[in-house]
Amino acid sequence: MDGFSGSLRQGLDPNTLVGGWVGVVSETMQPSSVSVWIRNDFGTLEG
Amino acid sequence: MPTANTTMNVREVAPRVRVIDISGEITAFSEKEISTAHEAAAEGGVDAVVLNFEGLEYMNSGGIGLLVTTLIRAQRSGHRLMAYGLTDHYSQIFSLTRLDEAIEIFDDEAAALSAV
Amino acid sequence: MVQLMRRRRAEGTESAQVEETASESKTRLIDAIPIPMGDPLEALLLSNGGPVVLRDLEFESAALDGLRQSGVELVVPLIGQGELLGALYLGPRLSDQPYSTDDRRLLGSLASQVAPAMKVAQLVREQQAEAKERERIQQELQVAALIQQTLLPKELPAITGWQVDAFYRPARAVGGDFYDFIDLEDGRLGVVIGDVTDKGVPAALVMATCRSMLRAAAQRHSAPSAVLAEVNDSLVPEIPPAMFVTCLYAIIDTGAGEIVFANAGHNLPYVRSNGGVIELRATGMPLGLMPGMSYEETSYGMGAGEVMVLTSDGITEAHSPEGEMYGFARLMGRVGKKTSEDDMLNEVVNDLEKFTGPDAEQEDDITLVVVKRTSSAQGAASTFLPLEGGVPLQDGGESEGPQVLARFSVPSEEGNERIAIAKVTAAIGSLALQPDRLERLKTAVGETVMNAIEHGNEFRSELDVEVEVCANDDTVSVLVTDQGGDKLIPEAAVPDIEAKLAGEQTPRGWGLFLIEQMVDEVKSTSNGGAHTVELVMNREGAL
Repeated sequence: MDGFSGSLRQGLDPNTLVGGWVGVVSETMQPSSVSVWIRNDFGTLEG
Repeated sequence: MPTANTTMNVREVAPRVRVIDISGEITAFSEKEISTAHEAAAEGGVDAVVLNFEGLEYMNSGGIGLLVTTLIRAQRSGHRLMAYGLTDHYSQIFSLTRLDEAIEIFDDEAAALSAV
Repeated sequence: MVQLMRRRRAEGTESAQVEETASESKTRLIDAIPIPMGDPLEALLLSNGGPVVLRDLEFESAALDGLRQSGVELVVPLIGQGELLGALYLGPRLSDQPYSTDDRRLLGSLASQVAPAMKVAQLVREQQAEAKERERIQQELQVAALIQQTLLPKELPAITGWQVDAFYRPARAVGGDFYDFIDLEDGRLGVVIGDVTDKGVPAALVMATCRSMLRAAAQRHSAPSAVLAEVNDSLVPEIPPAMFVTCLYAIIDTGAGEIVFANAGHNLPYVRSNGGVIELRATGMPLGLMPGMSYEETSYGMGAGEVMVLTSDGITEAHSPEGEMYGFARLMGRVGKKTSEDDMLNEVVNDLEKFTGPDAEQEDDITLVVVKRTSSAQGAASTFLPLEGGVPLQDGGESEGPQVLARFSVPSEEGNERIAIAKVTAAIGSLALQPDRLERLKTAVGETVMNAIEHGNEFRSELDVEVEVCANDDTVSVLVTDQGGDKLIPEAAVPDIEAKLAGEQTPRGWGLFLIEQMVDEVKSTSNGGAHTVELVMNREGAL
């Protein structure tokens, strides 16, 4: 959680950011399934 | 070398758009006329130079060569070269020589202007 | 280019992205379902602002249905500046405990931190992409410049009685200008100046190709027109569409002082002759546009003290701060002035710099080649005469027993093809050809008679071009005869004729290309010194 907050402040690349978000949520909430959708014209998730 | 029976008038029809009214013939001997007219039409920078062929009486392969030279100059100066008023016959020649791929052809002046 | 790449993602495009996470092995990954713009779920998420439990929702929505089917229980929206940027979908908890109010608050708070960070991340990513693109362009320019520098001559030719100078300065974007000097046999020197359309690496590669082709062709042919014709044919299949090369190739006979050149759509050369400034003309299409072109040849006898100036259009098309173009007239005027230093190259360059002003960014490559005859044994007066190779011959068929409508001749002087067109038109007036067929025949007659005047009879006005018009029930024929029949075939044309024509006629010239397209059949025959081209037009659909 601390690591993730740190990365939020530093402004990492979108992939890392979303990955971190999903990771933190998975850890804290323990959901049976998780997925994330990012609108394509916003996210720069390619590459 | 005979001089060409060609007259070319340049007029400004819209901001940064000038028309060259061609009357008579375009042959290898029209070089001076066409390069002077094109230089005048491009003076100060334009978006497009429009060739008006309504008064064209005769054009031969030498004239086509000159149009290519004019096209090169237009490309270098960064403006478009357009044309209108070609008869079916000369339209066919433009298409055979692939000139129509580089010089945009329109039915009349209004159509050319609305495409600038 | 940067703009274009960024805009490539069309607005409103929805795309599902599945995030892999290794942090929780028991967590099942499901396909992310997009929430399209305008879907009621989007409106709800935006107005609610925080995580939403799907169970509570009661409205029709394709996205909602899909999410429910995938077993999603909770949707955490990612909202930035009032827009739905994305969403996190959670299934029921592994512990089967419901998501509490605190859970939802934490999820909402996390999402509100992620959203601005995403914006920042995106900006950083874009800046990196732009920097990368700038670096790529910079590298590309370096490569282009390197190609140019490697291939341009490192030394100027040193020839007794001549002074050859060259100036080349690339624009920042490196255009496609080039020049070259080619050593030929018998004290002759080949001089090339050219310009590839386009800029950067593509132009540099075409320039390199064209340069090698010119060097090879220059060793095979002694006529500049044949060299350009061969390079044109070789270049057509190699060059990308919409690219072409303007090029002037001159051969200097350094002993006799004669310069013979052919021109593929390049700027014409100026000569400061002892009698004033002259523009030398030779017509021809740029290289790489279309196969089978022919190039006019012009020669000029250089007297001592005379200077020929070859330029690229980076000079004539340079602009002053007021937007005025340097132009041909100014260049010609400058070339015509003789100063006490008589340093043509620097005088032209200095004049151009004065015109564009000190702060101007150079728009295009600037290339200048200056050839001066410093001394000559003959001190010959200037002459200016066009030369052309003859139209080669092939045996062809004969038309049979038609009715002759007209027979006339015109002297071999420029412009007389117009007389021939008018007479042919009058002669076939009664046949009532369809108007478009008539126009095509007229154009074909003009081109054929022009060829006969220029190539066949070489503008010798004492020679006539004979024209015969005849017709039978099905066709009308126009036969054009010149006296170029037994002239030597230029070497360049030999393989082409053998390969292409199967005994019909030669594809020389732009004119001949047109002729072939205009009429239904073209036949070429020779009989001793006479060479006849027969144009055949079907009378189908006559009015």
